[in-house]
Amino acid sequence: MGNILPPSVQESGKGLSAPTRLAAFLLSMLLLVFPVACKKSSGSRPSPPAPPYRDMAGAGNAHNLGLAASDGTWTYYAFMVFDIQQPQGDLMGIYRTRADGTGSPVKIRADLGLDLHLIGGKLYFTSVDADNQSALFLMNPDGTGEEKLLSLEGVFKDLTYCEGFFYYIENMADIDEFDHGLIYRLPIGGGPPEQISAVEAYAMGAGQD
Amino acid sequence: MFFRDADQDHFFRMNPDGTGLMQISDHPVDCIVPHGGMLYYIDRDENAVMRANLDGGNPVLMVRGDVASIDRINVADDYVYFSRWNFKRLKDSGLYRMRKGTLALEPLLAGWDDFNWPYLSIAGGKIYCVNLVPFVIGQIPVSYYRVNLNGTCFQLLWEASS
Repeated sequence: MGNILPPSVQESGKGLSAPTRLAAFLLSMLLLVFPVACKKSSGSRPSPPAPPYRDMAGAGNAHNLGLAASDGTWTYYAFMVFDIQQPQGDLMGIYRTRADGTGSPVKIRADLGLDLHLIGGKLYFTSVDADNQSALFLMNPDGTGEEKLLSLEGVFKDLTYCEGFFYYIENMADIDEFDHGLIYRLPIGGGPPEQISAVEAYAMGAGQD
Repeated sequence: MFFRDADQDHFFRMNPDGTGLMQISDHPVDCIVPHGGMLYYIDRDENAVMRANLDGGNPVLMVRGDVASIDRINVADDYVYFSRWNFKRLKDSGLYRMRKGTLALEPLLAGWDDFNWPYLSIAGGKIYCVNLVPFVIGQIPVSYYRVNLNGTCFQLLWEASS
């Protein structure tokens, strides 16, 4: 889990982008306040996403916690709250709402999920698994059929999608360090992650809107 | 794909399979967003939003933060969205967008009166924004809201108790 020092005490540049680090911190804090069971939904195992594998979340969301994704009809958004004075864990989760603003939002996942990607009719997101590890999940758009794809020793950072692969930095930073980690890619159709960088990265961008 | 290395803070590109590694610049960059055949990012040395070709060439400074800090960017349609925070002139702090072609600047939510370090996710024609404030060892969210891409229909989804 990485450092999330305020910008005022960080050197120029470094530390000004830490979505996953923040998420990791929040998740760790939330685990203390709201034990996360990471229960799987009762629905059936989701089938593989259907091509074309076009991501309905913009590439720019990767640096912004991936709070939302939309197919134009439905918008999915993460609700991330953290209030020491007044914990509101019941609000935490992933919601689905009509993109035109009609109707009421429906919570489709009770636990925190970030880095939302909507690809091939499946919703992908990161959260923590039952072993408290940063993990990538997918589920059906109605919240059923949750399945874990991959868990890390480190923490997902800058998770993005491009042409059949997820790309991410496995952030191995300690609490007093700046983000750093190797870059990997994970085939969306299955298979192990592949390390593609020989050097550690602080920030990454991929994909194309 | 593009990255900033953690050792020297230089800006690199490489092929999606990891081959073809090439340095683009020696500047520390952040929030790297490929969009519409161009590359958008924050140059922390310049404290500016930059645009470049997809190979990283021909970088153009779009807007500088000046005394304000440019925190984060996102890109949708014809606009680059960004936030900046100026502790000396709070009225200049806020959420802005800039038209990619003309570089015309448009304030969306201006005049934040608190420390803000927002995350700006975009989906379904709306910006989902989490504002953060300093905490003991970092930042914590203090508000979560969404707003249309043109700054209308502000909706506060959550706010921390004071």
